[in-house]
Amino acid sequence: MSKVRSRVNSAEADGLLIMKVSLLMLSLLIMQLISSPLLAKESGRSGLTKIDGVAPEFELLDFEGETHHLSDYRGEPLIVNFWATWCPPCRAEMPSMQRAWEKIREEGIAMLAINVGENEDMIFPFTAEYPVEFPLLMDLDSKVTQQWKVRGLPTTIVVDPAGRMVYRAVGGREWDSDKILDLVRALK
Amino acid sequence: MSLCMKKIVLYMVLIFTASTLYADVNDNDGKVWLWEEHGVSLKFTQLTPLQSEAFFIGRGFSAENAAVVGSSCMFQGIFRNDGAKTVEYNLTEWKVIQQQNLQSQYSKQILVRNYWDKKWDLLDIPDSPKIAFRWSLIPTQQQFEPEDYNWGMISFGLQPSESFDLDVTLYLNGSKLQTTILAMECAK
Repeated sequence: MSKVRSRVNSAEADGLLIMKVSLLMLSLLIMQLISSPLLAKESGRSGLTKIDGVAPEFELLDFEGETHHLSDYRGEPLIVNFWATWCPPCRAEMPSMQRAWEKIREEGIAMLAINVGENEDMIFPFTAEYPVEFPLLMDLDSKVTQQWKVRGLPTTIVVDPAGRMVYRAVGGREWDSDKILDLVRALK
Repeated sequence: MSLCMKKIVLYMVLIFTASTLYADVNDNDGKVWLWEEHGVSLKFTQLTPLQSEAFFIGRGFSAENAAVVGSSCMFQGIFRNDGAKTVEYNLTEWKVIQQQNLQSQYSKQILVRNYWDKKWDLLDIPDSPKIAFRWSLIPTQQQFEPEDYNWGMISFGLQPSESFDLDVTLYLNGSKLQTTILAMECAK
């Protein structure tokens, strides 16, 4: 009889412990969620980092053979994306860049994507899969990319109308979000 | 308390007291090691020699040179900053640690972009694959502001199937943070 009671008491104690541990887990989970970076991500950050420096001049061909200089874009905000076809996050953000371009193209804001190290033959098949209407320039020897102090792909730099680099994003972003585009619009 | 309950409690305590998380699960056929702290995450996924070779043959390497890369213990790395602080690292400070026997271990550096640049120069590799290789590696040095991230390959310079620990050094708002990711393995 005492053995049975002892087992019952033991089972009750285990049950109580499970409940206590579950409550502890739940409270820890809630604390983790409150401090979660995912929530912080939606709390008003723009996703762009302020930087300051003169944007280095360049002369690059687009993949249709036309020459582009940075100075051609003086007087308007410019979004410059550095990318490559083999880079998964570059491919992932390209549709959002096209959607952003559709929003801003009539607003006096320019957008360029500078491919790092690939030629027309490599870029052309990409454009069938990811059609974009803004210029795709080719930095075949990656010298311009290095001059712009890009370390990893994708990196996007926003240049103000005076030719200064003012924002940077390392890694992909949803470029058509108004939170980002409003920062660019404010440069006009 | 029953043995089963003790295990459950121990498991829960381990989960909620650990500030870092080590995962070892299959993802696209490769084992994955994940470290997270302060909203910063480092994810390493094994790449088999065949996967690495195929990628670099596609970028213009000869089969012979792609095999050199394939057998250098390549991983895909995803470094993210979803926290609130600026994160910096320099891969030349990280150490690949191998146990030689019970008493001794030795460490070596990660094979970073400069190492491979010199190697490809010696082998007279053409510019296009050399540039693709350089940019497909995780940057040797990087600064991540909140929401920044990079994907890239990382070479630990070991033979297929070898195991090692990885000593990691990061700087969060300038403060040094060191950790060790244990029991990583090069793919077969």
